[in-house]
Amino acid sequence: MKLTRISHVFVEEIPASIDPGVVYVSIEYGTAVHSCCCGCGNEVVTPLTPVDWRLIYDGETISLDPSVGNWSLECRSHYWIRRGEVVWARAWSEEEIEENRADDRALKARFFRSKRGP
Amino acid sequence: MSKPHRDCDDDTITIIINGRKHQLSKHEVSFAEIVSLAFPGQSQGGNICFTIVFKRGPADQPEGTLVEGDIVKIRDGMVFNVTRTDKS
Repeated sequence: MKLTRISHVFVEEIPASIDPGVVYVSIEYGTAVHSCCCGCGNEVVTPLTPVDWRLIYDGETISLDPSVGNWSLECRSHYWIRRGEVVWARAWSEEEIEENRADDRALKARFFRSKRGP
Repeated sequence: MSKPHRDCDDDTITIIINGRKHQLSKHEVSFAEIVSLAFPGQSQGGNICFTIVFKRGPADQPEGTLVEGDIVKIRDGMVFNVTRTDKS
């Protein structure tokens, strides 16, 4: 069943087994993990790094930015997590996915190259 | 004279993958090994795209990103984040 809301819990270590409907956030290890909001049971990992996702905590709810695109999963679900709500988004074409992946590889390579300095 | 050897007898290194601790008895690890530790049983290849970033690594490469085929030296407490999810 597609979720429309999701809660969160702050942890140091991500538990071995996770409950659906909860985003597990580890600030210590810079990651957030949840079970796919479509209900397929696959684990979705959104690393918190300058080149991955940003987590916003407003004291009550969390948001993840940008959206979560599970194109590598069979469900191919795509949604935003905004203030504890799951906002479902449209499916992407293969071209959009490939272009986005190429951009992401380039972004990461550029970011770490620039941090190492000239 | 060589530096004193400080490795423990059991020689295990603890690394963190997606917020979970894993103990390895070796000093380097490949892209594919990290993916299988992160997502046990997940097939690799096809239209499945994994990305890996790491931090708290050895002095010569403390942070960075890995692509398929890469092998990286590890140290105790090194943090890997592996995802098969796309940002959009």
